[in-house]
Order: sequence, then structure tokens, then C-alpha cells
Amino acid sequence: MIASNKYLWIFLLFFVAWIPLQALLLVWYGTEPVLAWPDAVISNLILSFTCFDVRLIMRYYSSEKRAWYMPLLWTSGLSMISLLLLKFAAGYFYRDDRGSLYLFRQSLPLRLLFNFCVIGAFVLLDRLLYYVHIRQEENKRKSDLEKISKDAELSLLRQQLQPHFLFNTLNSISSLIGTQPEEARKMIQQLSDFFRATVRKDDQNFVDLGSELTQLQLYLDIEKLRFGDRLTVQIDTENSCLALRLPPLLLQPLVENAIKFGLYGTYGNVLIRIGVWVEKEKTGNGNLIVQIENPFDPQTAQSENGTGFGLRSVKRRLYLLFSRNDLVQTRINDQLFAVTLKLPQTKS
Amino acid sequence: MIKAIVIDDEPLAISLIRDYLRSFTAIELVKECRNGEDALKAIAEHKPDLIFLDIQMPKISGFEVLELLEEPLPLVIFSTAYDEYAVKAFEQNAVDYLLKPYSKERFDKAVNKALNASAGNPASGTASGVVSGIGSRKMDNLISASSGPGHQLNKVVVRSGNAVRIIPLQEIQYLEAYDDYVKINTANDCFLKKKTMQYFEDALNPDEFLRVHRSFILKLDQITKIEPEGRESHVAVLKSGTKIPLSKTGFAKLKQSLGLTGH
Repeated sequence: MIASNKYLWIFLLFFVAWIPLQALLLVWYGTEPVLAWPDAVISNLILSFTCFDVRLIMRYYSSEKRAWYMPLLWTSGLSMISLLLLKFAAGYFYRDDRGSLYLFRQSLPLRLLFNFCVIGAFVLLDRLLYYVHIRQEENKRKSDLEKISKDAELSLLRQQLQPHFLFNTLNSISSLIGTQPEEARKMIQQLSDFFRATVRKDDQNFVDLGSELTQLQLYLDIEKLRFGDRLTVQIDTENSCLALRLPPLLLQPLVENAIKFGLYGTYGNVLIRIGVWVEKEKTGNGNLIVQIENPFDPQTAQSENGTGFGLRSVKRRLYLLFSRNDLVQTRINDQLFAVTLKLPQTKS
Repeated sequence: MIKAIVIDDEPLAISLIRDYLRSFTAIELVKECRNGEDALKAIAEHKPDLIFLDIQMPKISGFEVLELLEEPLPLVIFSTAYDEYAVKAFEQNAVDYLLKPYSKERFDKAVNKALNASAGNPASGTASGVVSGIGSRKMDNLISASSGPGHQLNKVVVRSGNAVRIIPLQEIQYLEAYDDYVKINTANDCFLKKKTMQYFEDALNPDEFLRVHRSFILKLDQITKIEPEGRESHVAVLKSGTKIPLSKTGFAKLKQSLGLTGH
């Protein structure tokens, strides 16, 4: 809005420059010079105030109510009002000079036209600047979104391909080969399926929860084999939720985070709970809610300052997709850390 | 007979080592631990000659386990998926550094080195040529990374009795030299850690901690005021009321850190 403020000053300059011109014009038509000045000053004051009012009003109407006639209606209405105000004021400063008052009355239609044009021009300019601004914001948001989702996907890939996950898993497989070759085969299969699904997700389209959970399960199976009895994951979902949509690869970094904090922040057995449900709303299609809960130790956790790149990137991604900041909530309840995602369901 | 303990938070990683160790009849696996605290207890109890140590583990890392060990120290073979700690590991006199996943041959080599070392052949216990798995360029990176300013300390682990105490940096008020130890002072407690002041000065973030005296490191946000003491010297008064002497250079550094160099 800084740019449009610059234009406002230009407009103000216009009023200041117009005052002497109007005064000269009035004198030219026979108004007493002493009276022409207050007329010019006061009428332009009223006009400029009206212009700023109209700006506020148009802001209020902003983008939601885009009816084309609204600016026109407001321009007409306000030029009438400004004229009435002027007429009221003129009653005072022309009270001793009947000739000038007569001239003033004669000029009313002309003044109305003038006011209409000035206010109209102001409204047009304001609208124009406003739309340019909106468009710029939108473009910026769009390019940010593209960039961030690409980044998110890349970093997700990188995270999933993070060597130590792969190396540790291979080490587990190596161990299984000696003792339980069948299990080793199964783990190789799971690892392959997991990486294949990760690599395949190349588009930005939303996916349904069912397939996202299947993908998650592949990852969880591997982690469960690695950490054995220490790790339990419980997924509570209703069948009705499985068709709901969400951005791809959104849950994975959060679950990874939860597992990491659970396993490396505490000694005991770790239960990760993933809850999925629908939150109905009066308008719209409601929200898909996903909650991920992990145990943590408040004392050790505060010394780990990287509270999850995963969480930050998910927050950012959802903001860019839905332009809302309230979609990711975290809650600490005694020894439990919970992340709740709210995923608005748009018409598909 | 050589006694060994395996410390790893992944059961399959433990069973792999157990499996690989079968061919070494001279080694007896006395205990398997899944976190550092259990490991410390087990090491105190069994006094093993050799430990296999993972690095990333719950709450305290493999390195922190090493810090807390008491003499006599066992031989250490690291077993981890992270290659970036190799240099640090050898600085801690590790016998070898196994990168997961590793082959039986590579494992045997490491264990043989340990056996030689325990048989009183120290030459084979050194780091020569053991990082063959890591390219030399990478090695250079590792060295420069480890010798550059670290500041990566985010907690201090200490032993109190048989338990391990983890002190988040936020709780520390100041550190004080104490013979061969450093005394770590928190609001309600103090702990001794066998490290040098220089170690802490290097490892702590200088924006938060400042060495203001040969024997003192302060947490900057604990300072409430600086008072003159005697004719030439100054003390820093902490929130707790404790007065910490400042050396001349310490006073100058402190003024600079607090942005008081204007006058």
C-alpha cells in the first residue's frame, strides 16, 4: 500500500494546485475576489475529504463484493453529498453578496459534474492500484507456493533418502539375513515399496487420505522392525475419512518427527497415536483433522533446539496452500506432545 | 577371556554384532544395552574390556557415554550410520569406527585390532588407515569441521552417583574451574564435570556464554549489573546475587558483548 500512498500525495497536490485556478475562474465569471478564495478553498477541502472517505469505503467493499455498479453508486452519492455540504457552507460565506450567490447557484450543475469526475477518477485510480496490489500479492503467493512445495518435496525426498535411515535399515536387513532370512526379504520388499512410492509422487495434486496412510504404513513397518518392541503406532481412523483429500507427503515428516522425539527423547516404550476424524462446519465441506501424538520428556526436549524442521515446513506449506495460519496446532500435555492438522476440504 | 558389551538402540543392530561375534571364541558378550544410561550401569558392573557403541541413542549419545565413563576405560569400537563423527571418535581414542551396514570382514578387522590392543600392542590400536571407507576429500572436510569453532553443545551430561543428569544449557548460570574439573552451577545445584575450561569456552556459543576470568565462564543473560570492586577490578553480579570476579580482559570482553564499548 506504500505505492498507492505516493499516488495519494499526487492527488492532494492536485487539490492544492486547483484551488487558485478555481478562484481565478470564479473571478473571471464575476464573483467578488474576496469571496472567490473561500469558495475555492472550502469546496476543494470538502472534495478532498470526500475522496479519502470514498477510499475507506471502497476498502471496506474490497474484493468480496465486486459488483461493478458499486463504485458508480458511491461516486454519485458522494458527489451529491459533497455538493450539498458545499451549498450549506456557501449559504454562510455568500450571505452578504446576492450577485455572487446567484452565480454560485448557477454553477451548481457544473460543480456536480466536476465533483463526480474527480471522485470518479479517484475511485478508478484507487481500484486500479488495489487490483494491481492484489494481483501482485497473489502472484507472489503462487510463486512462493510453487517454490516451497518443490522445496518441501525435495527436502522430503532428501529426508527419506537420508542416508542414515537407509543405512540403519540395511544394517537391520543384514542382521535379519543371518537369523531370519524370510523377514529380511520382507523388509527389503517394504523398503523398496516405500522408496518407489516416494519417488513416484511428482505432482502437486492432492491425494486421498487412504493412499497417504498406505504410504505411511510402509514407513512405519520399517521403523517398527528397526526399533522392535519399543515402538508402537496406533492409527485410529474411520472409513468415511479415507476418501478425503490432503496434500501429498504431508503426514510423513510429522510422523517421523514424532518417532524421533519419542524414541530419542525418552527411554521407555513409545506409543505414537495418529487420530483422524472429520470436523463439520456450518459452511463448506468441513475439515479433515489429523492428530499425531508422541510421548516426550519436557526436561530433555527443551535442550534440543531444533523442534523439527518437519513441523515448520508443514506449517509453511499449509499457509501457502490455504492462506491460513491456524491449521497447525501443537499442544503439550504433561508428557505428551500433540500436533493437530486441520485440512479444509474444498469441493473436488 | 575378553568381556564385551554392545550398546545400540536398535535390537537388530545388536543381534548382528552378537551374530558376528560368534566366531570370536575369546570374546564373551556379557551384556546388551539399548541406551546410554543402562550402558553406564552395565559398564560399572561388568568392567568390560571392549564396548561396541552406537552414537545416536535415546537422551544421551555415545560420546556422552564416553565422557561419563570412569577409569579404566574399555576399548571402544563405534558402530553407527553416521560418517560425520569419525574424526571426533578417533580423537576419543576409539579403536575403530564401523559404518553401518558393515561386512563380516570389516567387523573382524575391527575386532582383531581391539584384540591386539588388549594384548598390549598399542600400535594397532591407533587410527592409522582405519577410515578407509571415507574418501580423503571427505576426510579433509571432517577435519576442518571438527577443528573449527564448534559451539554445538546444547546440553551437558553429568553423573550424579549412579544416575545420569542432563543439564539443559538454559539452566546453567555460570561455570567455575575446580581443580581438574569444571563446576557447573545451576539455580539449585552444582555439578562437577571432568573437562577443561578451554573445552567449555570452545564448545559453548559465545553469544550466550563468555569466559570472563581464567576460572569463570558466565551465562550472559544471568548478569544484572557490573560493579567496581576495589580500585581497579570489577565483579559481575548475577540474578542469583552471586558475584563473579572479572579479569581485565574479561571485563573488556564483557563490555563488548553487552555493547558497552561506547565510552
